[in-house]
Amino acid sequence: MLDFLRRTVGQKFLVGLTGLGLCLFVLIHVSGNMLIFVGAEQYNLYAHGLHEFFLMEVFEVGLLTLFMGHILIALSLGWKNRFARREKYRHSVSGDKKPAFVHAALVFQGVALLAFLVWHLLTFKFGPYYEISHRGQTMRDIYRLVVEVFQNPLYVAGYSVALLILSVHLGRGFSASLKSLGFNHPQYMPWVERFGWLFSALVSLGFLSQPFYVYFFL
Amino acid sequence: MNFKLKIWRQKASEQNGKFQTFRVQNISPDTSFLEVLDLVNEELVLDKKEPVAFEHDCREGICGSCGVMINGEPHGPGKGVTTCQLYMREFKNNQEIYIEPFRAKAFSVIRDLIVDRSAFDRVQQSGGYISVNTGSAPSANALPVSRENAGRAFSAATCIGCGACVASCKNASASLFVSARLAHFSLLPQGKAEQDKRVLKMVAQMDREGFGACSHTGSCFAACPKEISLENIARMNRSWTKAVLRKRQGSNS
Repeated sequence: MLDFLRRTVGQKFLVGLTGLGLCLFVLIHVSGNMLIFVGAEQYNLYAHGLHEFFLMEVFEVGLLTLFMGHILIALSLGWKNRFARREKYRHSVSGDKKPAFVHAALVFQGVALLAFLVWHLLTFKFGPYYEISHRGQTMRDIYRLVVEVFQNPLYVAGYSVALLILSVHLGRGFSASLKSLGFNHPQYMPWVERFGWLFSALVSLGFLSQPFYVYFFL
Repeated sequence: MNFKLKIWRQKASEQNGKFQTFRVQNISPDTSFLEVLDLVNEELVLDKKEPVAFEHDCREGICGSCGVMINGEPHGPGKGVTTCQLYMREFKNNQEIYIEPFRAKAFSVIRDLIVDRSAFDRVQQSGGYISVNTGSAPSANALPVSRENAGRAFSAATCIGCGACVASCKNASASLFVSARLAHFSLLPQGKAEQDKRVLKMVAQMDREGFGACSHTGSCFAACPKEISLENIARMNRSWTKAVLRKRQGSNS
């Protein structure tokens, strides 16, 4: 089983598998975010319910493993790939044989998203702690924090850029993950690729709707 | 037609190289790319200078030796052709053409445009064969092979090992080459017996040679003169995973 960590094919398998797990995570995350359109109480109750859930610690460890696995293995592959061509072409690849823009700098997309993730966690998870009481229970007023943060146009702009990168990363990463796991069929792959981009667009627009809604309407 | 050729000159793998400019004039549009290099070399020889070293053999697109990078494209601008099948009509009159060797850590430059592709041979030797008894050929219909599989195995077997996949890949990955070599065995009954050992050994050797990993950009397929399908890479990935999961303790693969 160590071969999964030793061989490039195995490492790509693990990056693909953790990537698909993270796709599921962002879907759950964005679904929860949509409660902002319902109201402050529902938003806070949902967040509180998540934190009180008895398996939450297990899920958090699992999520951390997914993120760390995806990031560390991808970085080590990126490192190996960089050294697979020591001397660069003087005249860079051009014409019809040049890969599409979305494939460029995958590792850099990942590193930018990692920086965003740290910023995101510092802003919200480890950000200011406000308390509020709903239905006789005291809980964190995460709604107030979200509204406060997204009054700042710099945050809205920063999140927009990060989510644009996320949409490219998710859109091409979804089908690429499946290819790394060994799925590629000429009949289905074009549809899988379209589904990946649709999924990425829905998730990214869902995430983006929150800062824009707060900035313009609250 | 007239062209300005910028050709990579490098005396040996450890030395630094640089572009040297050559002007060629009155070239017929139907001259092949390698013939233009021949003309350059004739001039150089007449001037008692060192000719440009480039690899070539069959000049009909099946030996896989003539690959070079032409204006940043492996085998030049044509689709599904090797450098020897490229004609000057594909270029504009007075165009500047950059000619470089294929570059990868696993393909060191031997001289000028010639690179050492023995890494491919070592990957092939590690497991790209079937063990059969010699003797008279078996009866043609003794082993049934479906038409679809025969077709897929054949198209994988058309890989000429030119290295354009490695040259075009941003990671210098050999996945298309290795997966084509694997597919042309694993799709046929004769190749099934050693399938697991073969994929484990060939992937291990591919990594040892220093090729990068596959990022599924598809540039290898775009550059491949034989248009080997990307499906083969996914087939390699799943047969590798199956082989690792089926592997028993103490087996030698």
